[in-house]
Amino acid sequence: MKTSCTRNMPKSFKLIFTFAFLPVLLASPIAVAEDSAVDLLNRMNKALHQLSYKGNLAYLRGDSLSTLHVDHSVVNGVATERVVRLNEGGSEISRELKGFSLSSIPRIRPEMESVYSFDMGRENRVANIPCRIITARPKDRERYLQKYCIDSATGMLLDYMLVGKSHKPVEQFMFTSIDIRIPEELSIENGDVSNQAIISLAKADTTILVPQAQAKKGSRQISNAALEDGWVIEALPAGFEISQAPHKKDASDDAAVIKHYIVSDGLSSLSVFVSPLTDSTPTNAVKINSGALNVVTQKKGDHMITVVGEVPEITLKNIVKNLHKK
Amino acid sequence: MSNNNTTISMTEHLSALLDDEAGDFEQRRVLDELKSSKKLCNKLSSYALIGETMRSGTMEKQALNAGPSFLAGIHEQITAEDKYHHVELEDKKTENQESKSWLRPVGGFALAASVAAIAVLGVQNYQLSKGSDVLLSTNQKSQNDLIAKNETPSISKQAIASNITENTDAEIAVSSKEILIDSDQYSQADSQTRSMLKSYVDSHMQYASNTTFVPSVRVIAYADYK
Repeated sequence: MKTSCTRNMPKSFKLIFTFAFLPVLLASPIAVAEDSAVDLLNRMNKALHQLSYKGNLAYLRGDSLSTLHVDHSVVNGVATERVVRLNEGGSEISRELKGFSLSSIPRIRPEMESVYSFDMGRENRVANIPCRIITARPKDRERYLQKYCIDSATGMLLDYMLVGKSHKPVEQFMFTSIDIRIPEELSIENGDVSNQAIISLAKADTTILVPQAQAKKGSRQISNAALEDGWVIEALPAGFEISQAPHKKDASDDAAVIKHYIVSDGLSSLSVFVSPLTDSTPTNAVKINSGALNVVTQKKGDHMITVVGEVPEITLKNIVKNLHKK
Repeated sequence: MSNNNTTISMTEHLSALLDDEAGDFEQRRVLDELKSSKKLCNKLSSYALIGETMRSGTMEKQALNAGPSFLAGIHEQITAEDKYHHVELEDKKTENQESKSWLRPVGGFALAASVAAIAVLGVQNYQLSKGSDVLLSTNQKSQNDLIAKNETPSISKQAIASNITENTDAEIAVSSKEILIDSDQYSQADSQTRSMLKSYVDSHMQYASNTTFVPSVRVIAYADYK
């Protein structure tokens, strides 16, 4: 079923089409329904895994604009995704891009509503498709505002941005053209695409991306207050929880183990790296910004603290400030 | 602090309401708050006025739309205004203008100089990185050599290389400009710092990041953070 097929029909045909297929549309999981903002976001999350879509999008980071081609297809429950950068500093050669996947947007959990207000905004139009604006508005200054424009008919995400404190997008993508197809085998009963299948196929073919949410299973939840080796984060921002990722080894010293903690509220996240100082460890205090991503490093005693995340710089600075060894 | 946050948040809600981007819940919240907060009412008036001015185009156009009676009213008000502050204000104005008159070219020169310095330093850093085999550059081979030399076991060479090559020169210029403008103190990133930061960004993207955005950051120079 190709959802865009009705768009070029004359008005009278559209009317007949709508009445004839109304019962079918209402029974379908993709049918338009009066969703709440959270329902629509979760429907979008599912659609990003289940739908086949192909299109071009404009990608804005800071002041830099690029164009990407995304091709996501689901065949017999197996998802494949290919992302190609269409412009490359004047070069005519397209380049495959790793690390970009729409399916990495997380599901909305009820507890997130304590730190975000999910609001249904007005109707908009992106890539000539009507879509509904949903805003995840943070209740404090510790995270970015997230704005989505979702096709209510299919649940497809057409426009997504992170908005900084100056009310300007720090990072955004927007489809300029898109072709959405709902796989025929899709139904309520067997609607979930096999994640196992995605991973196994991704291993076999480098052009297929493993959804990041799946790759992040290596982390485990730990106590919110105490980290390993006596480190403590005092006054963690509301809604954030800590989990631990696998340890890293220092590139220059095999004996030195870098601890990696993930601080996340489900929608926004940051990483805290605690590394023991070695002779080769750079000890400069650093702050870097690239679009939504910020990095802050600082020396604390005989350790180097590095905090990386798609949150405002002030949040990272507060985390560094509130991290102590007892 | 929480009060401050609430106020900031409420003004944002108010702004969203006026932009027709607020949801039902937000609308109710802002309207309830408007009943009790005079400050917020004033903000609403200001925002509405600003919005109207923006939509109406220039002040001149607005004045034309308002008609002669409105203009005549303004002229009357100006004529009726007390004039005992006139001389004092004019002096101040002159002084300000004078100070501006020499500040403007100096400020302009300073701005131009700093932008030029940023550009030169950015280019220098970039050229340095191009000329050295231990620094990151657009040369794919030297990147791979560097990665091999640093022996970063936790990151795949391909992943780092692709992250590096994904960045364009434009991105480099932007990121270094952003960094340098942000602070007076900055440093050129050495290969170890770059390698360390890249591996951290890569790990963050692998285990923590929830956004769909392209996981890349190119470090040339950084602001010293105290």
